[in-house]
Amino acid sequence: MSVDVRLGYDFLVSVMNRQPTIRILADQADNQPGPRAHFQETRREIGDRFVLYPNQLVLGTSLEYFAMPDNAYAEVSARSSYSRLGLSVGGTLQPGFRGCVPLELLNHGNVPVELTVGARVCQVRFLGLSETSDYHAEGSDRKYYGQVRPVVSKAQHDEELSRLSKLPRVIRAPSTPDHTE
Amino acid sequence: MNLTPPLPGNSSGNSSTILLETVLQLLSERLKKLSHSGFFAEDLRRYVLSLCASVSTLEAKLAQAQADEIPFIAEIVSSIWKATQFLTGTTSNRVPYEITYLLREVLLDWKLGDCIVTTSLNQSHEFNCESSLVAPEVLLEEIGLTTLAESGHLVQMGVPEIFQHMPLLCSPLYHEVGHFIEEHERLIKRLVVSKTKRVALVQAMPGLATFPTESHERVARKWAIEHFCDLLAASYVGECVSDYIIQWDHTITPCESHPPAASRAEVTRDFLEGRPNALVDLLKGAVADAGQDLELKQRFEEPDVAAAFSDVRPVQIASLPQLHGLLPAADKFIKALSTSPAEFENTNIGRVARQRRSHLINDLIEKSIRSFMIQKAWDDSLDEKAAA
Repeated sequence: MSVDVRLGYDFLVSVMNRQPTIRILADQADNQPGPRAHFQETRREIGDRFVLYPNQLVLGTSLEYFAMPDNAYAEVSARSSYSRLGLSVGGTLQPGFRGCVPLELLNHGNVPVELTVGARVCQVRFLGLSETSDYHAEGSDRKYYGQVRPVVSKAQHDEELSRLSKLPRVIRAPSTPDHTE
Repeated sequence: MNLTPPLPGNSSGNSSTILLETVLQLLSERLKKLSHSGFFAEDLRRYVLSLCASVSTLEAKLAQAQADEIPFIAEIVSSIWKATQFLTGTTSNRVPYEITYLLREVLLDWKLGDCIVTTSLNQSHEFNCESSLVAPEVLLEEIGLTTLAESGHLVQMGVPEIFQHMPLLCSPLYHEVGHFIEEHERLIKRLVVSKTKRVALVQAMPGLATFPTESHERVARKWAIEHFCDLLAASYVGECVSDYIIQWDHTITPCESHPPAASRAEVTRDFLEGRPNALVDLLKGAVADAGQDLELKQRFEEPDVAAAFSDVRPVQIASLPQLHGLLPAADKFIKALSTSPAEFENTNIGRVARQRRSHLINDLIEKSIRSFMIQKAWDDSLDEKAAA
């Protein structure tokens, strides 16, 4: 079963800044520029327009808030009418997830596309599981649980980054810089 | 900054005219820039255009103004400057629309629906809600700026930026909107015209005893305004605001500008619980005397939030009283979550890290308000279509 979902009113627009790259470091301190520094918040009202420029990444959400059951997950994709304009959206909603559907909007075309807040831009396809799962128990930290507006990547909190940064030099490429450099 | 120039005959009078001309020029440029902003609502766009026209009129007036006209022009320039400042704040595209919506509904209840509300995020911890019109309407009409006088009141609401997505912490705005309403209706000014009521007001505030007798009436007026704003806030969000005040107010010595936090909370509670209180009766009377069917009464209804919030879901709001009542209901839920965590052990909210819970509940409140706003806008447009 699938349902159409509508474009929400809050956006995080990727912007260029003085940092040459988005740095994702283990145990990133608050004063170090992380992914947040590369996005600018902007709000709209329902029915407003939002221009998606070619190759610009914009984080949005659905208007709808989802409370997924423990025995189903969902896949997010663009509606065909919007795919044909170059819009790409993708993602998965885990069993037990709560929140608005995160939409990583990207315009693959070469012409800016005007989107309307509240328009049905994508669809969510639900798939049943033969077993139930425990959302909170299976993940160490549910970083995007209950989100009602776009949230930047929290990849820097991934546990493996901390371990990777502490691996001995002998198994890392000599040119790999240490994260403290 | 006060733009009022020196009195006529003063040797520095000419330089002040030059300052006014320069300020008008700068305001004209700023307003043109604002008028090009692509995200303005239609009423704001019209307001900017009327301000642009007013600036042009003032520039022409100033060129031929007599010395005794300069102070009036300066006063109007101050008004336009303030309005421009308000409008600049609202173009940031980061407006907390949800809180603005709640307060617009309050203004509608108090027959102030023609107000154009702008909202900005403050860097300070202050909340504010004030009118941009410094210059009286009579003055505007006198100088030929009828468009500005007729274009409604521009109201500026300011929210501390760190509370941008924390609607529960923005409840003091209900108190601030009370100041705007009180000033507009001149409620306390009218109340203290009568000597009997002045005496009754002083007697209704025993806290005044700490001040010298000769200052009682003066302090009583200020305190009465604060109490009125507290009651107005309580009529929409219950004890949320007085609780907020108590948590912030750590003053020990009596203060002339504000009554003690404990007495504010007590008066609020008497109002909410319908207990006899002379001050509450006086303030209710002042509102009734203002006419227009205005009434100081409870206007909220707390929705059941426990089931939804325990499961980390927004609440489905059925009516405007429930929309205001969402804040006190959520406030109670957060307090219960904090004081009796064991009761929530087997719920989804109970499995969220403690430090994230308050933020999460505020997000759910914001989402609940927004869903109501969208649903209402959608239904209203369908109703209009059906009527057409």
